[in-house]
Amino acid sequence: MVEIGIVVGEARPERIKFFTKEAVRVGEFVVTDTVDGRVLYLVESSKLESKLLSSVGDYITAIEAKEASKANPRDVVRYCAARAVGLIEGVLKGRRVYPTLPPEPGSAVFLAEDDLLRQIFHNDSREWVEVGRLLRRDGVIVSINLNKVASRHLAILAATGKGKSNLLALLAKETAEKNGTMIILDYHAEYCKLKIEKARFVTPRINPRHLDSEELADMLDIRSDATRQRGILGRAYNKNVASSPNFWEALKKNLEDIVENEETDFQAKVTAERVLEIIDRGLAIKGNIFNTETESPLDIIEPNRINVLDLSGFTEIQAQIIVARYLTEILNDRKNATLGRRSRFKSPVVIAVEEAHTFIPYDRKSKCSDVLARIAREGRKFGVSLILVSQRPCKLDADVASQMGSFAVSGLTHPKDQDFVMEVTDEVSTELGASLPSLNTGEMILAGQWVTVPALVKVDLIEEKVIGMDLNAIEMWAEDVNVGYRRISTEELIRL
Amino acid sequence: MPMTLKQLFERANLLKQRLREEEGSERYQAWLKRAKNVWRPYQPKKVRKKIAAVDSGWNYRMYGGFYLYTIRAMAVAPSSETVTEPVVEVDIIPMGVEDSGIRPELYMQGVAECYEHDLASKASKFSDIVLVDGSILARLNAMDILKKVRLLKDYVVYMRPLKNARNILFISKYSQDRRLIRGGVGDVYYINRATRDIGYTEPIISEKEGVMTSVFYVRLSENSDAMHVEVPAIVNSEYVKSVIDALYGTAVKGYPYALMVAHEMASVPNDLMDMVVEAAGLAALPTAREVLEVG
Ligand SMILES: Nc1ncnc2c1ncn2[C@@H]1O[C@H](COP(=O)(O)OP(=O)(O)O)[C@@H](O)[C@H]1O
Ligand SMILES: [Mg+2]
Repeated sequence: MVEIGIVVGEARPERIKFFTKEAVRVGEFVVTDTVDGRVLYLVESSKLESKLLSSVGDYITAIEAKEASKANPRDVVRYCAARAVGLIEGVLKGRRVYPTLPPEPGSAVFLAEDDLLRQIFHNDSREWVEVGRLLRRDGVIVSINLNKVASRHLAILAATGKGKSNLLALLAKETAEKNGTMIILDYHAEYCKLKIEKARFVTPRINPRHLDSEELADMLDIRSDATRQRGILGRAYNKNVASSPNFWEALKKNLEDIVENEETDFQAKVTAERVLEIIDRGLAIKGNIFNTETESPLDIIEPNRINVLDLSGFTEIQAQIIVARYLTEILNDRKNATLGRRSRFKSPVVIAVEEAHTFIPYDRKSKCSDVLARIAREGRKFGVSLILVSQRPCKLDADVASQMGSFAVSGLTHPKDQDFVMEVTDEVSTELGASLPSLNTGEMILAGQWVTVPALVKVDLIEEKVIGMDLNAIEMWAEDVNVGYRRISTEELIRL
Repeated sequence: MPMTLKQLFERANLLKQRLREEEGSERYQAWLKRAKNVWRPYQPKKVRKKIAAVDSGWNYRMYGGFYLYTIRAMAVAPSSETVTEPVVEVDIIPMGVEDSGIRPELYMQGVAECYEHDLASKASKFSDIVLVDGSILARLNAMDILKKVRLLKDYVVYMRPLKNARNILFISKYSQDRRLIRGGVGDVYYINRATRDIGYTEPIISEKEGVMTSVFYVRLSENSDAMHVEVPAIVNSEYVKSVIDALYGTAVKGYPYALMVAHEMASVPNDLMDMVVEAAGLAALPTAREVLEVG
């Protein structure tokens, strides 16, 4: 092993500081000896400082100090802080045991060898799948435990463009290969080009019979403050409508009755007419989201497939209603399955929620907050798990987020987002959190139950996902030139 | 406001007025003019020379019945490497020092200077230039006091090899030497106000206790403070220029970097003193905690 440093300052069993001769990067793994045995540490911060240059107050002095510092090797201090991952003996068996005593100050710090890290991070037993390589060790493949994703929930929290969707697509692919069931709530129609054999692309449908009148109003895009319209709709939407063979005709009939009734006051007549217009327009534009014959949303979701639910055509509130409806059905179905009753999904279902802050906002209840909270709390018992994807973690309902067992985190710059992440997982410390903004696309901290040991990982780029790429506007405009617009001469323009 | 504070600030204000008046006076202008006249601007050429710097530090603790002191002295290169074997001393200040009316500081300073001179003369054999923080003339002037604590003989022994050592330079930034401008305060005050550029003053020779010393001022980088330099030998302005050439590339804010390194490495800060006390088995003794750190 290569000796790279020496333990200094106040060492604690879970945390050491050490000076190094050469630079050591955040994310590196190092080992030292303690009385309990050899311990693996993850480098969480790495500082490089010139004592002389730190003390200068102007440009010219800085230039002079630079020259002086160059000649004095003692002036530059390289200093790392590292957190104990556990005794190596235990880590190799998949257990995290901390040493009871810190290493002696002055102990040598060694670079962990690739071979050791391979034994720790690479696992080819059935429930493990490869997701990338250690960021600081190209030669070490990192596997994650897919079983934990399917049972203990995962949160992918990273700034836009850092590779959240890529990681989700990668997990979808691996899930498909294991014949698993996944539902991706695709808020931005990002996954419609997902090239996985078992992927299915579904546009959700809602049976209006299953909605209450407020939900129906939401689905019809009736403004939430239009209380009169909602009131009239509520009056017209009675039990008979819900059970009538022709739902829409029955509903419209009731509204027309209101309009024609002698006793209806003028205001109500006008409102009912308006609601009739709204229904007609709604059915004309988005009629295909309703299906009055669908027994259950489950009919269009298939087990052992990657079901991409395209929510891009809906308003926020409509999407929430659909999600609430679908997830409630799925949770119930899985409850039935575990109780040995008839069910559609015989095996666990993973539900991936893109733009999760839209569905479980921190400051209010959305239409689907309750069911998502329920899945987060008790989904594990029934084999329903969540993958929450968000670029604004601090805007997530903390109660739901704190149920997540595993994390992939990258590139969060806002202090509130960093604080949130540190709050919901103790695996990301303040030091490690400080390095988040400096991570590049695809570089993520993986922590929690799906990994043996928290690590900085370069996630594999999945080619099957041709999504998330920026449009090439210049190319596309250039192509437009050739698409048959007749050039208009100046004379023609003047004449016009 | 309590009376004393009011008076204090009145006094400070009076002083300010006096200094203002002084600055407007004719003789002040004459001193400035004189500083300008003796200043020789110089365009240095960077010349690489082997430079060493010597400094010492001491600290002490007062206990019932005795003082414990620590001295460190070093000769170092700008790379922090020591040029000669460093000196450390941990001991009790001899009884009788206090009886002769000498403060412990003065005693330790005398001892530390002996070490500095010894290190300087040794280092001068391996280096082109040896810098010592201080003034040899001031040391020679104050020598008599050491008679009282029987340190004079040693002091002279270590002083002797410095005679005619052309490559040992005593450097001070805050000198009060007034022999050049003969103004109201030290020469550097007027030099720093009258000139800004790199340069020097011609050496003037002083004799004390049989040691011929050349005294001059240099400024190593523009807009920085000039330094008071003494060489215990007779040197001319060509020599002074060569000194600027050698030091100019290594100065930070006009001060030779080697001296900063020496200061840092020789100082005995309070936390180090705590450890010394512990190692000496005195940690449990009550102390006046009158800790003084001097570099
Ligand atoms: N692991 C990775 N390695 C290399 N490039 C990646 C990786 N993950 C994502 N990218 C690239 O970064 C861009 C944004 O990725 P995406 O997954 O859409 O980010 P996000 O969902 O976080 O906004 C894509 O163009 C993708 O090609
Ligand atoms: Mg995305």
